[in-house]
Amino acid sequence: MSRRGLRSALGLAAALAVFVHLSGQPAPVTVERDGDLLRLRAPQLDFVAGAPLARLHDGRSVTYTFSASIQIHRGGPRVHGLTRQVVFSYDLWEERFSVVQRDDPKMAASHLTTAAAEAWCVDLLALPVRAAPADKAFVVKLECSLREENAPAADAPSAATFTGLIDFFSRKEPSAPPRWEASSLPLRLADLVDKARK
Amino acid sequence: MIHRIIRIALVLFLLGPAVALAQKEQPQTNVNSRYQVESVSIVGVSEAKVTQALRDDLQKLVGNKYDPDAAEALASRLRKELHGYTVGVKVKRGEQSESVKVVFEAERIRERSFNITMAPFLYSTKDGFSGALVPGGQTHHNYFSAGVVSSADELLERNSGVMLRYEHRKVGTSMVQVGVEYDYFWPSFEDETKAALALAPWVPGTYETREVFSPSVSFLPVPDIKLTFGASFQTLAMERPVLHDEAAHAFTFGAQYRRKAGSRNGFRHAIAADYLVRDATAELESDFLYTRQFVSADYTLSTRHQDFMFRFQGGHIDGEPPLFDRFTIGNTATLRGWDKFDVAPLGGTRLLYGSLEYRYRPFQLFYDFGKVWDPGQQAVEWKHSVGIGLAWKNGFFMSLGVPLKYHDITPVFMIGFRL
Repeated sequence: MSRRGLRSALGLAAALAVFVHLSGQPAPVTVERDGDLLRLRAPQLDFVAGAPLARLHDGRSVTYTFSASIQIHRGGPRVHGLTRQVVFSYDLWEERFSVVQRDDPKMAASHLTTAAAEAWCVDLLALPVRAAPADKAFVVKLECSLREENAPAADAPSAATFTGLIDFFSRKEPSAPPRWEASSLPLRLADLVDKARK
Repeated sequence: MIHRIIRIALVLFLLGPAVALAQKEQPQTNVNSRYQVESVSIVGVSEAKVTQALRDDLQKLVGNKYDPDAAEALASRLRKELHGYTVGVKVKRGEQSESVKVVFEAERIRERSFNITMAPFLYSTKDGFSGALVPGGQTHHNYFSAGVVSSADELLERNSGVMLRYEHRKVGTSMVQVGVEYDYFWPSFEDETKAALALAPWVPGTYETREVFSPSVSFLPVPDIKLTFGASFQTLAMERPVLHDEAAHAFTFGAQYRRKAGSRNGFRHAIAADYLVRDATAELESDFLYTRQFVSADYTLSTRHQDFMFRFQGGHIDGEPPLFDRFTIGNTATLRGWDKFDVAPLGGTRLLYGSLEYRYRPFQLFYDFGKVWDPGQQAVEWKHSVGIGLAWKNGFFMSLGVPLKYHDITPVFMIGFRL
């Protein structure tokens, strides 16, 4: 191989490595201090998409489980965590989303676009400032998954003919429900400007 | 009047928390619940397959506000009535403003486990490496696969060659499928087989190549059963006495049954049964004339982490088949631990085989027993083997089989991946 060809191949390999590295990274979470709360934003976390969106367009409701947690470092143990479940549905006539917190129906909103509905869910996950370590850097991780009850979709087999979930022999294991993740960069509490005091 | 107002206020005061509690327990989670159901329909299956009582209950949704729970309950009843179908609920905009149509979509389940795939990779200390690289792709019910194989596991010969297969899996209806397969093999035979052939001149000899062309048509009257009718045109380049071609053309028939079921007490059952016939006949101008019948049955009883497996195989051949159609046991799937050439270097025209296996998660223990023989042969003893291993549900396994005999006990180590 010529030197030029070798250089091109190495360049291509490096570009591929960068692409693979970046594509493996979770979507970013931004954190703002608002009085006693840490408010999260994750505009790139597009979870109303694919199969769940198709189910919503079929007039069915879909339940997402969200959790936000504070970790000292990425992948480390949770210092503090918060979980919320939100039921989505799609108004077939208005073509807008409606959301309701599962364990607190008063927390609801309607006539939302996709982005607005996603942002509404992330906004539910405000963490208390006191849960963040005052003297250490920390990261905030946001996770989203479909609740299991949504898994038996229209193509789910009947319990009368299949066990449905357990496959032996050549049959594939049932696929796990989709998950989405987002994570902040390492943060220090002292570096976060309090929005409430502005 | 004042008394009446006080009474109403009292009732509202008392019922208010109860109503609020009920609302809290069952929040309205689907925004489409505020729309009235304009129509209800079933698609994907004839309504005649649904009982009148259920059809009446479905129609009761019309005129009421859409209730997702009620719709799902009816879908569940439909699933019970429509054996072999999946049923999903879809809601669409109605013709009139602020109304919706509820559609129950039924789709026939196609049992994919009928597909017989070759093990991509196998190794045993007796037979060495075997492998198959037969990638396939599907588009609009057309399934193509093409690849190469070199396997010493299933047959008496090492079966090396190329395979091409085309299937159309929905001929008008998913109940009818057609397929055609073309294979070309360059087999090689072990010395044990060649030596045994010298002592059994009635057994047809070795061949240099084997060419196979087999069209078929399959019917799935219910999803658990597949019936296949076809023909198999095989040309063998026989090595003795001089290189010449001989035909093993046969009509083929296969019946397959697959069933998986769960039960309320935590046990699950899986049954797989196959019956295959190959009738090589003069009507197809076959040089070899024989009828080969093979039956197999697998039953698996499972709890959460444990599986109990029972397997049976039986075979009977009238006439003298070529070597590839003779029964053999002693490989990575049958009589594990035995060398097939120690069991019968030429295989046999009669087969009986059984296996008991216990699995806890991937850990497995097994006991295999069986025999192959030819009619007129002196009493043939049953062969037994036991073994342990690890077998994961993704198909990867490694096991050690030990033949139960008095002399020359050599365990066989097996590893591989079986889809």
